Amino acid sequence: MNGDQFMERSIKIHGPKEFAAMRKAGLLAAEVLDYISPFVVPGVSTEELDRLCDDMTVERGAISAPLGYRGYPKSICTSINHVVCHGIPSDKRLQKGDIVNIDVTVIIDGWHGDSSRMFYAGTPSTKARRLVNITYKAMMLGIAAVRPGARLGDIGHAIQSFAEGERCSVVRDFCGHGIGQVFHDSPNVVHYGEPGEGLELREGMIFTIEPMINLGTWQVKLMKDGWTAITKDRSLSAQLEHTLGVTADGSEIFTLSPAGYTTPPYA
Amino acid sequence: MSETAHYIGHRKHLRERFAKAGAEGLADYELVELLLFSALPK
Repeated sequence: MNGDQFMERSIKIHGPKEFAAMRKAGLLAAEVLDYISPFVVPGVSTEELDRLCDDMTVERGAISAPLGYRGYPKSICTSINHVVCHGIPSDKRLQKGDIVNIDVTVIIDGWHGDSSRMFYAGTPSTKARRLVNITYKAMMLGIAAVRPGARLGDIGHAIQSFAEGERCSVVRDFCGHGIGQVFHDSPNVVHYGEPGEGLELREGMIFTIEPMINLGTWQVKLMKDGWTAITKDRSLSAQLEHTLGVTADGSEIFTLSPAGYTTPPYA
Repeated sequence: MSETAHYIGHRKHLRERFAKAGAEGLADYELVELLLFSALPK
């Protein structure tokens, strides 16, 4: 049995009941991101954003998946400017022109909804806005490649070829993942690759697509807290994330914004 | 929240497994990899 065959056997195939549960979890994650949008302004601390998201999650009968996950200390991730992912909310306040990723995962009725979006604190630089728009397009191109019979490499290639064509780079160290009743499940969904390579997608698979795109090098460095990943050259980084399921003719995104939010500004 | 790609920390994981279970806990190709780590510095 080769690696792909082993991975295929360990990947869960979900049916209509599970898709319904994921719709509910995904919707709540999207609603939390919609709710937090007007609060992301210069001067707000990321700890305050964390508290607001956690309060809403709990009020809706859910819990925040990252809290306590492998020792993670907060309920959301807030990754500012050159932070690639897993920035830990703190008393640090957003500055005018910052770009920030807010990553939310909720657990409701035992199912995980995982999504992240970019936000602007004030008006960011032209290059920052360009990066965010490229990252959104890259993610959506990756999602457009999802259908039964396609392969993980098709997703990665769609993202990588677009991002690199825009003179950006794709982070290698972190990836999307299978999700459902388990937060991080098989398969690893890397955001680069060759068409036709990797695991074949099947109807009923559920996973995230969450490319991290940098303006400079793709290489990252992990900070001493063991979580915060930054770009090695301190260039800006952006990320967006959806949770989706493979359907008979493509995919269903579980974490679409009810407010119609895609890229900032959201006002 | 993204997952760390499976190949990150590969050398560390292999060394830990070797320390815990010895050579019998590793496949032949993994033993070769362990030997090559010192020849191919990161």
